Amino acid sequence: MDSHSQEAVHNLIAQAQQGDQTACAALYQQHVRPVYRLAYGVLLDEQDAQEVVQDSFAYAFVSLRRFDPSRSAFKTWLYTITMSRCRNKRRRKWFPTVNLADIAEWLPGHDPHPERVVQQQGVRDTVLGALRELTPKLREAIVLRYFDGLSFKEMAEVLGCPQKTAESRVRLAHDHLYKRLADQRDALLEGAFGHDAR
Amino acid sequence: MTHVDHLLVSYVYGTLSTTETARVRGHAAVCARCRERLAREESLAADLRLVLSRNPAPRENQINEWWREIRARQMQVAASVARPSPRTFMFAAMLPALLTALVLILPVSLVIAGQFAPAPQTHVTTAIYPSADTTNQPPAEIVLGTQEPSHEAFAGLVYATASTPESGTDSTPAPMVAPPAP
Repeated sequence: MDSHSQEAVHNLIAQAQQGDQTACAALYQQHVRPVYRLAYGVLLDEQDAQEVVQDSFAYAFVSLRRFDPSRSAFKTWLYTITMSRCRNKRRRKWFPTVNLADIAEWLPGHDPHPERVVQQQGVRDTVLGALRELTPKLREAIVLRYFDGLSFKEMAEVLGCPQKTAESRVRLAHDHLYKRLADQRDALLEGAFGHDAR
Repeated sequence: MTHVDHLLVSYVYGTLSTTETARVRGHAAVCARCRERLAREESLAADLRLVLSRNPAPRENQINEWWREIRARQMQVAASVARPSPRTFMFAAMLPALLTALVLILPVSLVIAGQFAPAPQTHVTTAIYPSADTTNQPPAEIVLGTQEPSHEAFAGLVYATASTPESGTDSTPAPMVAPPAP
């Protein structure tokens, strides 16, 4: 984030702290998508993620007066709240589930090659299945690292742990995922997604 | 040869220092095992990045709906701060009734207390003690001199006015009367 947009966010936060609802709405619009994706990545459940988003923003706006921009970025602070709500949600719901119909919905519908769609869905299911098998702490670390590219320092702040611990969790998660995905490795390397990112 | 497994994830993320980056590169150039593991990490990172970036995004109507819910919660919180809690409200509603009851009960209590309160005198009879059966016995007098009635005496008075003697609870045994001869 450049300094100009940072300043704009600081202004919005200052206005929101004074109770300006337009500023609150602008902050919400800026952050609702990443917050939802974070919640979804951790919980792997659309309904739970929606509830977490609402809880997180409701809490954040009520507690906004306590937010100190000099201590942390607004995004990190918001992610910390979201992660805390995800943990609460997970405690109440021990076994997360994924609606397969939802997975199909996320896949691009305009793909002219149905066999590729099926292949992509297979890879996605495999990776999501492997993610679901991770312990909650390892999954949190992986999601924070990959869905928004947080640095280890930011991850440590959100997770409430030392930076080395955050690094270690990502490493452990990689080891587990690799073992889990070893059987499907060939399919992954062949590039079900076309592997433009690789 | 010291492997560099512990540095590979950070290497993939580009968070290593210049020295550590050079160490990983130098080692991977000569170690097939670490080279393979590095390729593995890079492959896995690419897949995770791709899969997680395709997590479902909320639709516009959902975003607007959530915002309405969040606003409603904010207003609820604001209203609950401005409005007294239900307990406070209930107490405030009951306060006039409590005061009225107090105003009615207090004079009555004072009248009763005044009626039975012993006047300052030198002799206080046992009539103020309810436990004593004074119907069949002459009152035993307790001489208290010129002192004011004690708190215990007053407490006994209140007890006497508040309680009703029950048959069978009297500590004084009833006189035994012999049944008439057949």
